[in-house]
Amino acid sequence: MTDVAWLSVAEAARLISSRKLSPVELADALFKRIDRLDPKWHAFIRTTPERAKAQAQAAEAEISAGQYRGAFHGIPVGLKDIIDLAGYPTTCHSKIYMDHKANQSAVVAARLEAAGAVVMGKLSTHEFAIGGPSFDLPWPPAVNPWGGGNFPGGSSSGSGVALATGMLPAALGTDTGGSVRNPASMCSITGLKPTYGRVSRRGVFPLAFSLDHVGPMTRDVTDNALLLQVLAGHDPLDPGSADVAVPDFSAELDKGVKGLRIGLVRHFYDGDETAHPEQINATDNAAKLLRELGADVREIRLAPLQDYTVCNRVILAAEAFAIHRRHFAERPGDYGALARERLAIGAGLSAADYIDALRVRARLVAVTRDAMEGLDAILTVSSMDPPPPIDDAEACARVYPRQARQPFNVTGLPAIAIPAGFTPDGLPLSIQIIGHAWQEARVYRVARAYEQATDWHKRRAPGLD
Amino acid sequence: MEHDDAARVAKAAGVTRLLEEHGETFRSALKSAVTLAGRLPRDLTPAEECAHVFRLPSPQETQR
Repeated sequence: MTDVAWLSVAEAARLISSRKLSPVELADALFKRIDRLDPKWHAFIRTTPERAKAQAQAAEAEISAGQYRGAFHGIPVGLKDIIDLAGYPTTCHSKIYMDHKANQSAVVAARLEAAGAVVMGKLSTHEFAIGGPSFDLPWPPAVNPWGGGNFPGGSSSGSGVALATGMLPAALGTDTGGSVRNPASMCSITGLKPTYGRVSRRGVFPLAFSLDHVGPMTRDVTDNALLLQVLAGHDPLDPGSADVAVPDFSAELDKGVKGLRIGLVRHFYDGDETAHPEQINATDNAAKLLRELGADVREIRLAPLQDYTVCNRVILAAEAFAIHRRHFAERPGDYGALARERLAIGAGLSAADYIDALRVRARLVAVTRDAMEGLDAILTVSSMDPPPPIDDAEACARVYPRQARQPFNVTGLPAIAIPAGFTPDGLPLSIQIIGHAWQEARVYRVARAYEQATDWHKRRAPGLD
Repeated sequence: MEHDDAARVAKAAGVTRLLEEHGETFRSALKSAVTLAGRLPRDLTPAEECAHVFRLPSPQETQR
């Protein structure tokens, strides 16, 4: 049998449902791998072996009794450690919350468990999803296996690293200014930020209410659609949740892109910013490939990238400061230096600045909607650069302004980051595909067509068995 | 940012301890905030409202 560490969710599900793979053996094998690899890569804040073992045993018993629940029954998953899991601390990777035990699971965690998933542990993040990579916290930052000691992106760092090292086949991240898609890009995996309101955020520690999304992270597009299927759905107790129908996210996966109209937003990465030459080539080549596959790819213009970036940053800083103000007043020294520095920006913004950013947001939503009229999807970069060494603080800090993910937090549109090649040094490159609101299935269709025509998602970081 | 300005902002925001213990970080963050806010467009018209505004639920939503 293939090494279980690198099974996709879909492959593992086929084996589990046909009783050729035991959920208990799968979880045991991955825990052994975590014990062996995690001291080097630091993807986990904590593992949850007792809970996982009980869930795996229950899955095995149910499946043996003919009660198979679906694709995630018996599948190991991990949660970014700002997502509540009843009975365990939600540390937010911070001294401030290191003893903060959750009484109730977040809706997304409960949905995973109801689907029969096996929760293996809580994953590293930037402190409170904003301050990292940091070396002054109670836990070390996760390290990217690509390059051997590079920045894995963030803030869902542990989720990206757990997938890229074969410690987990699926994980949850959160995305307020790109925090699912950044580690997806840096770790050469697949991460989707769904439409705002598609997935409940209840039980997830907020960074900025109006920009926060929970998103699925996997090693390929098919698995991502399967995971979103479990997560999506209206939650009347989440004020941002939308009461919209949940479609079959896998329905369009293998339909190809022939006849689809795709806008290429080139000015984001060769104009407003200038991406690394290899990243420019990778994105232009992706456009070429989609054309060869039958899509009508044409260059379009959105608002300047900086307009979205400033809007996102002002809203994020203002909302995040409001959330952290009490702890900032009482225990400022218990934050790591990076979180303290980034969160403090919100103190210097005025109410009028915040309101103006919200007004600009409405304008940007309209501009983007008009530019996307008649298109099925748009294509652009995710990160401008490949991952830098994690100990190069200045280079890591540059990752945050040099990206094109924030426009889709501001507009709330679904956006996926997928692998798109490697630099000559073997560092990951990626692209981003964006769709209209509620059209994640179309985003997956384009992403899957590209993925099927390439093999980037199948490659593993050197040195990993 | 002058010390008095930083003190005024810290007091208004209720984070005087942050200023006392991490003054350099706080002053640097305030400078970043001024720069950031200065990059917001200034041509908004009075009719341009916020992206999300106060809205009461419709009777149908209330009944659900």
